[in-house]
Amino acid sequence: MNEKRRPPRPFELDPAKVTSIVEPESLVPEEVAESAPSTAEPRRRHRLAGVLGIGLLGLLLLQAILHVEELVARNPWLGWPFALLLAVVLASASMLLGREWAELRRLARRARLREAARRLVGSELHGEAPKLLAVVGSELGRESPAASHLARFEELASDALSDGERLLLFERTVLAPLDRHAYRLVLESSRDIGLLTALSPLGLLDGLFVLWRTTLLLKAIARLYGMAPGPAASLALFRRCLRNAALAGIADVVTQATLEHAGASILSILSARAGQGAGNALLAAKLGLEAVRETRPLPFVAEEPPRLAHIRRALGETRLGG
Amino acid sequence: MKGAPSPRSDGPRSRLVGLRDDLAQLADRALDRHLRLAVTGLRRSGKTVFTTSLVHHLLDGRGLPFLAAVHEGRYLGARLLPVRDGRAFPFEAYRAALAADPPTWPAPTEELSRLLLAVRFRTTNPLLRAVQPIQELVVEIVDYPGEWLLDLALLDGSFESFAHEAFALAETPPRAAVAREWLDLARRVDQTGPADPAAIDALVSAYRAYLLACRERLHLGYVVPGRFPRPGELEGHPALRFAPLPPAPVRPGSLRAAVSDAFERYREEVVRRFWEDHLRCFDRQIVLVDLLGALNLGPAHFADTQRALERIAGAFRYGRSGLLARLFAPRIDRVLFAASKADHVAPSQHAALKQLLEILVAPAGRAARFEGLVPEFLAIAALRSTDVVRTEHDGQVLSCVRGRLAENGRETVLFPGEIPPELPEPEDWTSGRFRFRSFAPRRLRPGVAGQHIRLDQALEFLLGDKLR
Repeated sequence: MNEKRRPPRPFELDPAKVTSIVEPESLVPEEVAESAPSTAEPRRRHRLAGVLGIGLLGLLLLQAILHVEELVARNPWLGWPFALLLAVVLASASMLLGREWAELRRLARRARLREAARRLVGSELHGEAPKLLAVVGSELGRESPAASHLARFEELASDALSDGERLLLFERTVLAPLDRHAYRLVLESSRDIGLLTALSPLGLLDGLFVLWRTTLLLKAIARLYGMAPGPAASLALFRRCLRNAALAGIADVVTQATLEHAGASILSILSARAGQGAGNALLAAKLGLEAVRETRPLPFVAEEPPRLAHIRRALGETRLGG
Repeated sequence: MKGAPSPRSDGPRSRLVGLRDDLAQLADRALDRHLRLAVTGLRRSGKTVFTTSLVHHLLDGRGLPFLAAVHEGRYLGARLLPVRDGRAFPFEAYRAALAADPPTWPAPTEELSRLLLAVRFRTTNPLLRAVQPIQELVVEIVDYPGEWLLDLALLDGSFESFAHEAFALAETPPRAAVAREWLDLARRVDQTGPADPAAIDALVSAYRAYLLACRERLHLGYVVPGRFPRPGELEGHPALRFAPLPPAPVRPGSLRAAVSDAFERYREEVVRRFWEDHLRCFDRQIVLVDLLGALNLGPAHFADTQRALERIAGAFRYGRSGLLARLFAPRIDRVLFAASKADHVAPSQHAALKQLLEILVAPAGRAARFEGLVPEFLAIAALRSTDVVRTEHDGQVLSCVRGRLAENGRETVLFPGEIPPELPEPEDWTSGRFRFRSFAPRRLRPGVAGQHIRLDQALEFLLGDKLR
């Protein structure tokens, strides 16, 4: 539409003859999800790595097939079961790979969704948010804990709301309860880690425990926001969280973390294990909060993102209480 | 708290009750548990429907997702309190009319009325939560004819400035068409002669007829003095025996002296009393503006609305209220300008509607900002009476509204024109660009979401911070 267009004149229509235009919702999701800008450089590197991986896999596959062919020709009694087993292995491996690949893509799509949503914050226009939120709704999954909140959102969202308002309402009715749940998960797991590190007799044991419990936490958070991460997706999520935590650490070190570490070191004067426990608990909490940021399909708009300070306070309270 | 200037039987018992109420109100005010909300706006801007819908939704407690207390599950409910002095806002009657089949809009307000609503909620304040987790806020709402507010500008001016403005307005279209009779009489009358009651009566009734014609026939909003077209209980009051006169020297005992004395009485006994009793002590204010009606009627009416808005906004002294200020001289600390009847256009035009209102209120808004208060703007519909339909017309996909027309109840789909996001150009008026229509109300039902547009956001702005 150009700038100088004539504004449309008023008119009136017979309601019986009006054909109402319904926006096709099924077409939109991919478009919205893909439209967000992406950086080209890592893409190229990924593609090269992909080509290499596919080549290696192809070689392996070719080798396996040749081997089976030879085996069948030499000894059918051994060859056919082997071929069957190979087929089973191939099928299940490709299914697993496909699922992992889908989850990895989903993790990347969430980042794009957040980017797209950030552009709609405070927007007074109409038309973009319903499409985006339809994608977000299907991302969260109809049978997840979000289902009842989604139904509530649909009941409350009137068509008069602008994009910004709709986004806000979605965050409040659908995501805020999930956020509270995620916060509880983070709190519980960091409490577990803190306690167990303080109690465990072996350094190696509590290292393993921290790793296991943190992975469990990240998976639980991802599931809460409608993802089903396998090992690869979990690893990717873990990597992202670690990277973000390290990046955020630079800013944090100056303000909060120094205080926390000072607190932990005072604690460690009293008891070395307790100090270590507090440190581990805070690290786990930090990773958990990063996982919330990474897996949440929308950015924090009006709701306050859960902060480490809240967790620390809550941890202190539980320690006092128990 | 005194009511409207009406004769009341003030027995010692009722005086005692009144005193007790005053003390209770003072205590509530000190504890920040009493909030006075001014619902302001010109005639036909939807004040009564706004108040009715607001109270209906607060009583119902559902369908207000943007009110934080409701959304956070802390809102417990509300109940109406009896109004002991003055006229009570007939909420039940209005709600019954809107909930009837077929529903009807309430009649325009001709008298001042008050409403008290007690709202219960769970507080988030950690200190209060330990002592008394369930808090109560009393919201007091005053409904009155919008043009009474325009009189407040008279408090600053003199009889001469009032007359000067009245003549200047009456000589320009569209008022000139209905002002001739009164103008002839006002210019002919012998001002220096003795005060002849019959001459004053003739002058006053001609002026009143002119103002009534401005309001009823021309649908103009800026009608000063506001009590003249429909004096109600002030009918025959000596303070109403004045009308603007051309400049002339004043002699004691002359007609001009009598008329200007009556003007002074009107100022002191009617306008100042209204201000002292009702307006001075508001905490929050919402100004409703029917921009669509003004756009419909053309440039003269639009300018008229702008003038009236400036007067209204200038009449309030804004400023932040602290504890002491709240006790002794409460002031408005939040003001919301709302473009009402937003459901008469498609939602995609609400942004333009809001922007146009911002431009219109800009001078008054600057004054408010100067006092350290940022006004808020919203496009709202207290009671939604249309749906949105997207349809294709002449190759363009446009959002239309579907509803029943107010005048004949016929169901229709309407594209009423596009709201300009800035002040309309002269050619916009001539080309028939706007044709906003009034719609009949839909039945007001309890427990149904989506019966309003942004009423909850208006509520959050006006009382949200008091429900924490």
